[in-house]
Amino acid sequence: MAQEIKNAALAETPLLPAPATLERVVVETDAADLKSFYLKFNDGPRWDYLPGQFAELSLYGYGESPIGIASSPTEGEELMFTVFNTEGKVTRALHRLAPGAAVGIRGPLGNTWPLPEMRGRNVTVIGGGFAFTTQRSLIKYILAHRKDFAELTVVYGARSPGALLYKPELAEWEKSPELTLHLTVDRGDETWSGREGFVPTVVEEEKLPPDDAIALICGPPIMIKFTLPVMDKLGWKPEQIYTSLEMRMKCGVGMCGRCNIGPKYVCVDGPVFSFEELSKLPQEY
Amino acid sequence: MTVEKEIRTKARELLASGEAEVVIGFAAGTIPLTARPALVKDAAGADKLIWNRYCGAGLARYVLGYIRDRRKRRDFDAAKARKVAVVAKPCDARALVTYIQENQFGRDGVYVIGVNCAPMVDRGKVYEAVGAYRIGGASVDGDAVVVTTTDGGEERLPLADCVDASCAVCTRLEPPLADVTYGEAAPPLEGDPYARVREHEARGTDERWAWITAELGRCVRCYACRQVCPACYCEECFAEQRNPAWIGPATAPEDLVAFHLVRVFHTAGRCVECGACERACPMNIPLRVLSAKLVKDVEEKFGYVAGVNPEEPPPLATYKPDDPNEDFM
Amino acid sequence: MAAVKVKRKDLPKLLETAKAAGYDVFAPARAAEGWAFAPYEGGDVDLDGYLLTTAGVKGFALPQLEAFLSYDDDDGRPAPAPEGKRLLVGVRPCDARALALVDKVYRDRGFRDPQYLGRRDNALLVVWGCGLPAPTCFCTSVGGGPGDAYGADVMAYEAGDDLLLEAASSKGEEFLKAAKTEEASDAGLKKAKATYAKVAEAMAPLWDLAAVRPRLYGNFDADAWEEVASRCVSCGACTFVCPSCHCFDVADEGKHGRGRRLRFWDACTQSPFTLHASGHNPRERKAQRYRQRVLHKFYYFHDNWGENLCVGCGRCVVACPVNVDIREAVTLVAAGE
Repeated sequence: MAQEIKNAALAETPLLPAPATLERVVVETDAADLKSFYLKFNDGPRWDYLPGQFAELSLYGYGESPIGIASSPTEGEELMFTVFNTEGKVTRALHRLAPGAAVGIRGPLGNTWPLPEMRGRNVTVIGGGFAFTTQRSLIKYILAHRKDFAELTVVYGARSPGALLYKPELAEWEKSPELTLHLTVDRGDETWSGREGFVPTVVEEEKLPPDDAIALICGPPIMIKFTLPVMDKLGWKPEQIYTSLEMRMKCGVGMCGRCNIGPKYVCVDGPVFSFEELSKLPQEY
Repeated sequence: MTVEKEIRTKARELLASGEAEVVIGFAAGTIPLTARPALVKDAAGADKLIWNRYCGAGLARYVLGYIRDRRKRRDFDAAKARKVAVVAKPCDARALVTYIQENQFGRDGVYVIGVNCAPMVDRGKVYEAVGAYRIGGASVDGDAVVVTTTDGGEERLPLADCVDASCAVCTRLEPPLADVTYGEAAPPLEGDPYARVREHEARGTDERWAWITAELGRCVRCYACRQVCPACYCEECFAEQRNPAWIGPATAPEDLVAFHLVRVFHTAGRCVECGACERACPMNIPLRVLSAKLVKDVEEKFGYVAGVNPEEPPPLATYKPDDPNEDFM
Repeated sequence: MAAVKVKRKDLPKLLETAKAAGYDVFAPARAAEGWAFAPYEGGDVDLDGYLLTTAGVKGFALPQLEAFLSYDDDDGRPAPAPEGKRLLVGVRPCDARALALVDKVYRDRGFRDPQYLGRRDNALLVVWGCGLPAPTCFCTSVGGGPGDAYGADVMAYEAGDDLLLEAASSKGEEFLKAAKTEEASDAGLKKAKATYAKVAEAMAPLWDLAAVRPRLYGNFDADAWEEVASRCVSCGACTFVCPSCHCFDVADEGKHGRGRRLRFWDACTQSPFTLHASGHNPRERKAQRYRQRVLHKFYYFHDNWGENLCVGCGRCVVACPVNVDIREAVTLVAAGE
């Protein structure tokens, strides 16, 4: 039952956040409803983590919020989290913070994208909207370990050009020979000369092949609902497709009992699951 | 025909004809001294319905819950909705009156099978006397409750000592609202319906505070009282809001007092004195003392009794120039 | 394991010795809610009429409310580790078993909760076998029994005028060795245990749990769940009296940058338990929530830890204001196709 914990201190005091400081804030979207927060630990180096994992961001007086780690461990000492403002207590307070503010971090939590399964294989990343965060971490990680993986294909879509995250990275990736990026928006605007179309449509049009490939898909439920049948028609098997789930969480360490799907706890057995694993669980999430 | 037979016959009739899509009544419980709420949806199921001295639980909440859940279903067609029938004690019927006053549903949406009431046995009282885990079996025998204990013994308790504290002082033994009414009205009870309240009123301020904090101090915030209370049907309760947090979330003593006092104030002018709160509490907190105090105050200050007349506007939602709190404005 | 014998009437002496050795001693006492563990003030331990406390001993390990850290202007400090040894005498086998099961969640996933474990390490449980179970008891249906020592530190068996105390853990062993009382004979112990085995025999299991368990999960979509939950009012009475329920919620409480982070009991039977920030609620309906409760107790926990989480104490059956009965739920759902 015990999983590999990469942070020994967390094992002994799992509910105690480690103090960190907000170094800078980047407003990701035109609507400013998503911001990226760059955090640095106050006491020494950050802990090890791998793409796919999340952390509980803590603001004393407000509470905590489980957020996927959007930075890659290959990027340096800072941790980066992209947070959507739900107008709940914590995210609203987070969005009001200025550089220099104190933020607590509990992590790394959860399991990782299935890196062992992915090594040597083709990797297909399919992301929609603001679920793209831990996929950014993965893409950066793969690019830093390029030889360990075969073809890298990314499909990423948002509602509008202004809603796309990580615009500088996207611009870089569009030009890079190391990966193939299919960028799309539901509806363009006068600045947009790129593709228009929903993510499932793009997956279908590009006929993304399942041969020797692992897919990582993250997005709003409706996007996933329409993409999976497309992939099935293209020959993808459920054990090849992984996703990252969201659930209401509090402790993040498998104790408070609320994030389960059947016998699996999303905070410790997930958040990454293959669709084959999910098919065996109650459809109650 | 016994009341039980009449209930079954009516239920069968309503379900078979399709006039009602559900009959909410009582079925036999799985432990002694207990009858349990039952939702019967087909005519054959009407035979499950019972009527006895253990039917103290409130059924009005189930009517409201059923109607609300039904409305949320995607395939719900209001035009095709049939009545929700319920076996209603006078307190249940009073609760239905408050629901109608508060626009939760219309009178024609429910079929009220009224029952003229007699005081119900509160198994909690028997638990207090004998011990919850010593009861092998129990039954009502005339004016006594006979308990066979797990060690093979037998104890006889006066029925009067085993009735629900609210039933014991209830003066409203006939349902104010009903499509049919069964059973014979029990003779009016003697004694002061506000006896426990007067006991509390006689306490000085310090004594009152000591009593309130001692009794409410046992609360574990399970919300059983709130969930069974006919008046408490908010989709989100103030006690559970965190944004803003009106009160703390758990059992800090000040939060326990705040939760119960605010909750009981929210029932002022709406409490139908059913006693469900006190019966449901796993920690035996005498919650009815608090609500009875408010019922008494509303009756004295506004001349109003909750759940009697669906046409009458609730006093705390209505302004009258001669309202007693002149200094309020 | 060490086993000693004391005269039943000499139990107070043993408890006074424990007090002198620094233990805070708790024993069942009559209370407004029935029976509750209260500080032992001396004198005879009168357990006449006692079978179960209303709320068990869970609160000694996981209090209903605790401030596990305090903060002062972004500087957070964990609450000091629990101190003080406690001895609980008169715990029932179901309660001890439940705590030992909850330990797994707070210790064995690779994360160790220091507050919970500190309190557990400091507590010594003297478990008292049950001579007279209630009709609502069904421990023998879920792998336990009236003389079961799982989770106990010391197991107490009544034997006429005597009380036989057998160590069931190293903590219990140390305690009994220090007690310096007469050793219990093997024969006496065997005889005492046999009486409890007889009590167990009279409690026929309600089902073959190993056969029933997969059927509960297999019948996940059965209509029977709607029926058994139809009367549920979604309070938390069952959860809060249950000795093995251990879910909690967290909230910060403070003013002007200073305050505490609180942990307090939560119930999966209540609607906000799984409410997402987006407004989505995977368990919107009470039938889904009640199913979660039963499956967690009878299937999910077993899937993860190999044991049944429901210990058959029957408290939920007694506490439920509307007579939702978990025994019936298991039987009805498992019976379905």
